[in-house]
Amino acid sequence: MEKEKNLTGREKLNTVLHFAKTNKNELIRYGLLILVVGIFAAATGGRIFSKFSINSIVSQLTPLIILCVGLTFIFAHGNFDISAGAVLALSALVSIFIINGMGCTPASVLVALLASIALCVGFYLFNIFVSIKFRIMSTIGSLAIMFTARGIVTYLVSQTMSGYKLNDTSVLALFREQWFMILCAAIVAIVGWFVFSYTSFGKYNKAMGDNMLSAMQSGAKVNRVRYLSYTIAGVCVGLATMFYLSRTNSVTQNFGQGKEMDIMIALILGGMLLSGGSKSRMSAAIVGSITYVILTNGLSQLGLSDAYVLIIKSVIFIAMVASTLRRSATIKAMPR
Amino acid sequence: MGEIFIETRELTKHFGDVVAVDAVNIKIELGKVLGLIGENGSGKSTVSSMISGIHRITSGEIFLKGQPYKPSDPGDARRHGIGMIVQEVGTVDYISVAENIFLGEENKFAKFGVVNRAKLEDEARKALSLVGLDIDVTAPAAAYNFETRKMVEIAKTLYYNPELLIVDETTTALSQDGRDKIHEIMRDFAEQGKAVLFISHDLPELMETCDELIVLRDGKYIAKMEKSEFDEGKIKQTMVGRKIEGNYYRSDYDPSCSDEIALCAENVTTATLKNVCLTVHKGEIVGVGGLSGSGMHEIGKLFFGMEKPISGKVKAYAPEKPKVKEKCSVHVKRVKDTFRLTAYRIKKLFGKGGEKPDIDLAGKIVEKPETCYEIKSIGDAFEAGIGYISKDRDKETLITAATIKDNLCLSASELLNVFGVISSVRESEFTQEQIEGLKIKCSSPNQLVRELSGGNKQKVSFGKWIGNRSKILVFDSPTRGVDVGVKTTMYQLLYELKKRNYAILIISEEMPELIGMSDRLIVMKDGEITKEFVRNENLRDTEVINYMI
Repeated sequence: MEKEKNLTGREKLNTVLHFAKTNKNELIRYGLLILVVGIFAAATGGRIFSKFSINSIVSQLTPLIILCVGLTFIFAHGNFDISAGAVLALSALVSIFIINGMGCTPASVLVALLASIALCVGFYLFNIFVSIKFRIMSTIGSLAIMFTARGIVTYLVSQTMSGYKLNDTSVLALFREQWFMILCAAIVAIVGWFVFSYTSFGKYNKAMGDNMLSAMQSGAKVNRVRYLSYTIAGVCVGLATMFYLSRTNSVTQNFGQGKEMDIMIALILGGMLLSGGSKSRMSAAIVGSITYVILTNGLSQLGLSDAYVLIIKSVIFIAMVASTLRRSATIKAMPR
Repeated sequence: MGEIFIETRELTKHFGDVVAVDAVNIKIELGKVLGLIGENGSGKSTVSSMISGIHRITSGEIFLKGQPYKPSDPGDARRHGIGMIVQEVGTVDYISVAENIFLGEENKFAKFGVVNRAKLEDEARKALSLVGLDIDVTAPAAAYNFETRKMVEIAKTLYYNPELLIVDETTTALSQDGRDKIHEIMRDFAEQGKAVLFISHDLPELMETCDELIVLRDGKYIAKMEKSEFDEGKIKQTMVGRKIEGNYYRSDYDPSCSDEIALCAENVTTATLKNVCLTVHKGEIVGVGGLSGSGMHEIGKLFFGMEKPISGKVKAYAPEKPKVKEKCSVHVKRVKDTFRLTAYRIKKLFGKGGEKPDIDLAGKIVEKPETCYEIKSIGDAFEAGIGYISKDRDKETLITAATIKDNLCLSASELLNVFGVISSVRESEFTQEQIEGLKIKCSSPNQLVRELSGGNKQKVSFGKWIGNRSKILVFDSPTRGVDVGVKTTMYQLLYELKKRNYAILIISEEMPELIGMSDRLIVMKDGEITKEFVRNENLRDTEVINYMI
């Protein structure tokens, strides 16, 4: 105790700085959330917490959390995925065909959900299969998948006047219920957090992002881990599809456009490193999504047009990447 | 006494919280080769880096011929007549040798922005002649081997006619031939009345080349010795600050071990190995030695499933895996243990320190009969309980960006999970056990591995495999880049493991270590086993070397 009192101002500052440096990602994660909530609560005069606004936040947040949780398993490897938006669109389209084809019954929703999960898992597994087999970066694979899926959607939609619509919009009403959305998001978040943090599979994911060889030598069956993590990502994208579809009830050419970017920004806002590795945390996906949704909602409540929101997003993206990806030079320069 | 070229006063360098160099006063005289020696992390590279402008000085001063000198970068140091050859390769692979020599100085040869190539190449040839090298300067650096590239770097440094040449552990990766050449260059340089600062791990090399030696320890100046006072034992003792027996390997000459085979290769042929037969018994330390390219490192990879045999088989003998039912009973016990541990921790948190529960993390190990595992992949080797430390531990064995805890726990998930869930209580208990058992010096289990010194990093690698109860250990160059103090600990540890019936295979480039530690010493040459020695006190390295060359 005596010692602590005698600390000079400079030493205190150093302790604080050291703490900030070692807990940088945590500080970004929670600091930004508090900052964003604070700023928009003040700027909108508390309107951001109105019943209407909360409902809109929840309906945007649920699918985003589901996507982010799923893709964290991939991002932990240091792999980007940019196919999410296009795959979402294609699986939404398939879901519409199934639901309409089966006469908009509750059973058709279940079938559509399973089909859309199967479709997404298929795409993601195909991506990782190709990248393992032909030793290409899976980011490149996801680029190819993005073009394929988006191409199919664009072609099919171009055959119609104004895209595909659900014949009966009430069939997806469950996915618009607030309690159901919160329940789903919570379950996915908890399960994802648990698997990522407390199983050897989750730990191998992080280790592989840092050092593939040493993960392998520590007992990780890396290919199995990769297939499994891409399967999880596929399941989450498939599930998220239904929530997005329930909001639009139709699929146009732009369905899901830019979702992959939203995911990346949300993860970065949560303090996730795009290079993956041992500092990856599931809380980055969860808290980051919340920050992101409040941010975009707040901006549009302030009356900013979508074009400006887009520009602000990209500025945030670059600023965050620059601040998180930079490695501290002092440690590296230290000889052995 | 020659003129003093560089003098440092209270030279100090901090890296964050770490004091790398602590108030060091040294004098570098013209006309002499000054050696700098110390354990890893003793600050010798940092001192030279500050003189050559790579690192900034935290506090203290440097005087160059009596004038205050504060280099802002290596180029500045060069203009002051200080040239440094670094440990790593400093050439760029795909540009020509000539361009490498004048990298960043092309403007000297430029007229109106266009580089006069012929002139540049002429000058490059002149530079190379300083080290007696005659090669095609237009060829890319990648076309030459490591040694030649090193010589190119030296030529580059010498071209600027420095008055002080700093050589930082350059020789460790070179062959005897290359070393001799560099030693000669350094001697010549000193005879011309210039100064040399030579940093190396290799004591005999330093003793032979240097006129004076300065010993550093923990960033502090410890002692200075003249050539006439050089004595290997004394220097070593000064370096570690405690008395080291002349022989710090095991002292017995009893090669006996169990008859049970733990690991064996049967007539294995791979791309580099030819018809290799090798067995390791339980309780035996087998050493494998050879020159580079002899295939000894491939032996390690072979046993860990990283090298696929074209013909022949690799087998390991280990207990069978427990059946699901047996596993369940172990896990039930683990659940109980975890609760007890958690309860103890909560009590401790409220200041009610009770008796710490005595818990064996392995749980109740089910005794299972031995079975034979054929090793075809890393997964097989892992299943059979083989632990492997690669020669390149920072790139392969460790995750340097992760914490000590993450590194230790990654390979032990089998031990740490309770019905598939990795318990954090068990994790921290396990980490504590390894850190204490191996005396890993760290600020906390959450410190990053890359912040540790070489010796402590290697202790973490040991902990990975000893911790997860691997009974067969394949260690490639286990003491590489590790200082004398930690080496001694590791030898003791290995000997202790042998007595606990572990099967150990050591691959090493250091002959004294192999002779000092192995029960059986295998000598390799061109992918074949040329000789096998059984431990005895009359074995000398000269005899062993005969079978390597």
